[in-house]
Amino acid sequence: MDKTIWLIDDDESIRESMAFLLSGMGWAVKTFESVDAFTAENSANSALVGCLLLDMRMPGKGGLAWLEEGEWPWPLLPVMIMTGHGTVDACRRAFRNGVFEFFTKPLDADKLIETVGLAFEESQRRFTAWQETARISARVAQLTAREHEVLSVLMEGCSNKEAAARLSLSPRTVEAHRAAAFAKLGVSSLVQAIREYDKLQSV
Amino acid sequence: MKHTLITRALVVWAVVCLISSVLLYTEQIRRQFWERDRAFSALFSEIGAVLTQNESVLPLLSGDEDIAVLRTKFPHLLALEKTAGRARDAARVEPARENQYWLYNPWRQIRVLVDLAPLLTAHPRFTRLEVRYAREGNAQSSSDAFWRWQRTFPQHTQPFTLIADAEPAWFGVYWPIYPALFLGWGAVIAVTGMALWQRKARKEAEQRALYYQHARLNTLGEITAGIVHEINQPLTAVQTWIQGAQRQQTRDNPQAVSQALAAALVQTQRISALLTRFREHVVQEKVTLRETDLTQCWQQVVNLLEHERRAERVAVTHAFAQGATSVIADRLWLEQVLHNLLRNAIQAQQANGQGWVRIESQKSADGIKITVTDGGPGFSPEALQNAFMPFYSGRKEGIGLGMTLTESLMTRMNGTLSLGNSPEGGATIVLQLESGHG
Repeated sequence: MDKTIWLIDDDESIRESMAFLLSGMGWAVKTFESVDAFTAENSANSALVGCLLLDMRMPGKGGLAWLEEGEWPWPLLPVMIMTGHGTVDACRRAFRNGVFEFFTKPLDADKLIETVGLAFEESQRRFTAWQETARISARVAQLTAREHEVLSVLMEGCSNKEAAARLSLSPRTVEAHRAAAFAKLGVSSLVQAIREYDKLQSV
Repeated sequence: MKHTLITRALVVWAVVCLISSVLLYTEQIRRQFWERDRAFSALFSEIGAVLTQNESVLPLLSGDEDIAVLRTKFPHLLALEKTAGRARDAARVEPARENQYWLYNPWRQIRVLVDLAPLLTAHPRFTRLEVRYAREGNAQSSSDAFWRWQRTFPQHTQPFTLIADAEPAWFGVYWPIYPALFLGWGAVIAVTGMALWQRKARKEAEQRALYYQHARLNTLGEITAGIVHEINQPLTAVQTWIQGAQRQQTRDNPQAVSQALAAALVQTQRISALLTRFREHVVQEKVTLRETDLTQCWQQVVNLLEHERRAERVAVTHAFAQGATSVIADRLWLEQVLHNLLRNAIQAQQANGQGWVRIESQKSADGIKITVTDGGPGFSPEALQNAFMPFYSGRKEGIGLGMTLTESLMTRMNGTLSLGNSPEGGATIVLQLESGHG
């Protein structure tokens, strides 16, 4: 995966100078002059990684207003807000919307670079977790309805016999379902199966 | 505003006059009634006394007395006669003519002619006055008089009833009191109305002054925010370019460094262009200076700051020398200058409770010299140095543009402004302006 800094600012001088500074650090930078330009290019791909530098106040749609719109389509992308009008209220609103960092202009380069690094780590972490979830959910999806049922009863703590009694099956059938489910999930014990399941729940 | 106030005052005046004159008229008519009532009571007791005299004197008479002698004591007795064979149970009274009657004493067989007419004619204010003999039929005779009195005498040998009618003298009231009353109410309402109007006007003026001040501060805030925003963008870019250049320098990448510096330079030029444009926006519309009356300007400024002046109990005095009240200036600017100076003086004396501000003007060689002194703490050495610098303020909440503006306005009016402290410690500000011809 390639990490990219996505930069949205209406002022060309800001875009250019920041692109210069950040690409000088060896990072890929993509600049957009408006929120619409960014969404037009990236709305199809929700798995963007890296970080998003977003100006708070822009002609058309401002960054903060955009964040407050609701469903955020790029869950792997930490967002950093930049603004020339840093009020406490704006800051509070930004963090309530899950912003990673809040900068006032003019920006301090050291702090910016450090935060971009942290944001990349965060994005990487989110990406790994997302991959893991994707892997597990793909496996869970393979289970048949019966296998799923048997597995959930077992995970509640029932023994094979109890599960068989609860589901009105023979213990042998339960065992067969259990073995099939373990094979599909790629685990060898109930404990492992539960841990995989937990990962799925936690995201 | 004033118009409706006058209309309202007139309506109130009319209503008050109407009500009070109705009340007054009723009272006057009532007094007439009391007068008649008292007259009736007096007459009743007078006649009652006569009747009592008759009753007591008649048994003592023998019929041989000289009527002339009798009349000296009892003028209402007209005649004394002897009767013969009057039954003892016959009526004691026998009406003779109007208001005259015979009173009999059957024991002694005499009778006297009693005349009540002189008593009754002494009261011309009753429209009807009669003494009615009770046996003459219905005592409750009806009448359409406005007021009516009727009372029966207690002497039972002479069963009379005194009846009186009277009409109010509708037009007999005392007239001159009404114009006086109307004028009095008019004066009261006019005075109250004036007081109310003045209070309202003063309140409005205060509100207007407050509003202008707010508007000015808001405008200032908007302008400042605009400048900050406009400059912040290129400033951010410059800073970022330079920081990028520094990093490239450590990596020994001279081409990138010079590219970044060139870009930064472009942004600083942008800032400079912004400032130039802004300055063009703000500064210097041409103004024509004309003869301006210093006294009027000062009065206007004092009025505008009336509220603050009262709140801080600052006494404002002036002494404009003869021929030193007309200066060459722009009226609004001069007011702005004086406003700033007076407000500063008032604010400087917030704590001391009995401050004062004095303005004097004199003719000098170069024009008119205006001196504003106050009883405050004066300028600190630091303030004397920096008072005209933008954003320097002696007050914590001050923006520090007041004196800057004052000085630049004075300069543009071809005048000067100098600050100092008086020997007593207060601030002394000397303005110098060209003299008008007046």
